[in-house]
Amino acid sequence: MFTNDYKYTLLSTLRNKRLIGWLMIFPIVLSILFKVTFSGIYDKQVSFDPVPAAIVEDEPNEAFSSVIDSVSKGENRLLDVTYTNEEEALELLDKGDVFGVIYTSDIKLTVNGTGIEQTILKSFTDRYLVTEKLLNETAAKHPEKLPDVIASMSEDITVIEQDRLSQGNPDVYITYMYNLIAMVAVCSSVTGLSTVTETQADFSALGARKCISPTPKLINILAVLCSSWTVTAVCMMISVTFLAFVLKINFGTRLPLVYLGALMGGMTGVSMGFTIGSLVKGSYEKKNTAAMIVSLFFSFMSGLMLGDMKYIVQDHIPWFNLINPAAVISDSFYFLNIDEGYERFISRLIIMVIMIIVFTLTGFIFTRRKRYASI
Amino acid sequence: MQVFKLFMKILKKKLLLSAACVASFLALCIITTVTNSSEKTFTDTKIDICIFDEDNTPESQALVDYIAARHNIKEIENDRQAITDALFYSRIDYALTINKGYAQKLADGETEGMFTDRHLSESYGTAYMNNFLEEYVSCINTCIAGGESLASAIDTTGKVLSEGTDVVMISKPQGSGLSDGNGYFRYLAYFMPAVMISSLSPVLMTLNKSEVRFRTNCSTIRPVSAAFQIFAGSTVFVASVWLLFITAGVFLKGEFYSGNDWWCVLNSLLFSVISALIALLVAMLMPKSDMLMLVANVICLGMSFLCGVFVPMELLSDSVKRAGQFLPAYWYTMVNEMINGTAVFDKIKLVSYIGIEAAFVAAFAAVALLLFKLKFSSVRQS
Repeated sequence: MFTNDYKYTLLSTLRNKRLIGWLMIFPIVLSILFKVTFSGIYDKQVSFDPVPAAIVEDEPNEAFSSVIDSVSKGENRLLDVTYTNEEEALELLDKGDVFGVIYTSDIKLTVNGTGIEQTILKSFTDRYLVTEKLLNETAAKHPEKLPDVIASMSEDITVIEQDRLSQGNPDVYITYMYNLIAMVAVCSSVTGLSTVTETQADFSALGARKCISPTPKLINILAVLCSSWTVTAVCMMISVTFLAFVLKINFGTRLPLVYLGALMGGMTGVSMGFTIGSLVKGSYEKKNTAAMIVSLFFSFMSGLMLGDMKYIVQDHIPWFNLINPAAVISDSFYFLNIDEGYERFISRLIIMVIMIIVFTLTGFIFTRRKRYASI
Repeated sequence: MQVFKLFMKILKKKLLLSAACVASFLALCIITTVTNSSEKTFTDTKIDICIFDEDNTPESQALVDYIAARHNIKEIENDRQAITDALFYSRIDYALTINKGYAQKLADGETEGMFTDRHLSESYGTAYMNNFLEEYVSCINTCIAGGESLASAIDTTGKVLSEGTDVVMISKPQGSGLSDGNGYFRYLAYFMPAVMISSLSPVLMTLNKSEVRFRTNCSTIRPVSAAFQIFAGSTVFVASVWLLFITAGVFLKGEFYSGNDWWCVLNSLLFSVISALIALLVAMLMPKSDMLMLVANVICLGMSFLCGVFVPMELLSDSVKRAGQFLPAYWYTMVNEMINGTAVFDKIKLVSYIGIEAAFVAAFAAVALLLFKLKFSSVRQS
């Protein structure tokens, strides 16, 4: 009975080409747009590149010029300098080609913003001025100590030990891709609605026929639910495959588990749709609107539109990220990427399993024992 | 006014999704608008740092105090995962550990392994702080070499490092309040089409259904009058939504619009019309309304990401900007950028950008009329 029901529901779901099409087209189109938009932004915004600066040598200052040379050459250089006159330097500044103009005569800095790049330029000139001041003070007060001071200043020191916390992809913009997959999963709730509409007599002729058939309602519902899970699973697999192999999105080194996360996410979305369908009374359109509002709200709160949103929620109402299916799904991908272990990923999978169970049970409870005086 | 009344009756049923969009928009605006600021003089960028002082000596405390006076100290649990999350989501820029033995190493003139920098990648924050810590330690060592005691050297270093370079700040004209870069009008480019497609499109799709159209055609209402009433209904809805946003803007800003804000108001009006026309085109091209929100998301999110709504225009690559020029939201954002000071204010350019938006209105209206004509004639033939 179950196999028959499952098979035919699966076939009828697959025939709803528009729905399936959109569940596939939606992530493909948006992921292409995200890829195009975000490629290179992380490097531009976060990854360190030598800071472009214009140097105006209004008066010769050999000591300062040699310091500039030392920090603007080599592999780990701090500055990317352009020697020019004042007029051109200010033009470069205005165009945004440089972040600041350094004057060598009296060590002055002109900037047109207050970003980290300008602060790095100021920190560089500050360091030179401090060195100069200390030398002058020592020369005035303790001239006999001058060689020691110069030796101390010239010493190359390493004060920091580096500890890279993760070998995963540090690009924060990848969270948009995680949220996109999460959104496909929660939007799959639309397919979950069919679990209600195809099994209840007052929604469709098929529902009415199923209600009078000898098949137990539980088997009926389970068959429809399983077929929706299957179809969504296929959509999720296609989405992840497209992102990982066509767009070459770096999901870290544990891609098979990303598929598992997506699969579970899809099931969570469908089960959520089943619950929404059973709780919202009224037409299919009403249920569909409710499912879309809930999906969009969860996606918004997990950071699909504003990347920071999930962390803002984490700061103020942390429990919400544990009950928001989109955030749980997106977190599972994030933990796979950034963590060395599996603890947090597994915790999110467990939450998804709990959600699937709770949503499915709620759906069962609210769709059972229906009696119709008239349809 | 039967058609107008019908329009409003259907619209009333579709307002739920629209209300959710408006609520999300206002919530987002409250978060982003309140945090805006504009700078007139140069101040060092304050980095968000968490410090774990494992040495816990007066020397290490002096460093913590010195950093705290210049940067924002964030309290984060000393847990690898918590630090990783904070760094990944940019809640902190730098995670510094002052290693045990820091004070002893300072006294002995050793430098290696004083600090540990926990990071995810080489960032500007990392480069800046590494440079700063080297400068700090180097300065203390120099003072000690000059004959000072450790305590005195720390004191001198604090004083010497406080005296900085003269910085001249060339200010760009800054917008204020709602016209600012992170503000109200920026996100309107996402929410306005979303509201229009979620509310206006289903109403128009219902009115476009062949059986409704046939019934209207065979009634005593003239087709021109019916079309006019649908147009009037759409206009009332668009104007209401636009006025709602503009009024909410006044409350968020705390004062009435003034100066260049009016360009933003005009810009938003034009964009509202464009959004309504996009909704009209979607209604004409989509066969059924069940997948409307997915389509709306592809249009709204796609246009927003390509046109610098969610990601600042300056970070977008040239090819993305070139592609964005074919979309109305790009010109809407360009006008906003000019008003908020991100781009140089040029009245001629500003008017030309608004002109391009007007051209989009004309183009979309022409396509809508053409589709209307085609659909209408196909229904009549069937």
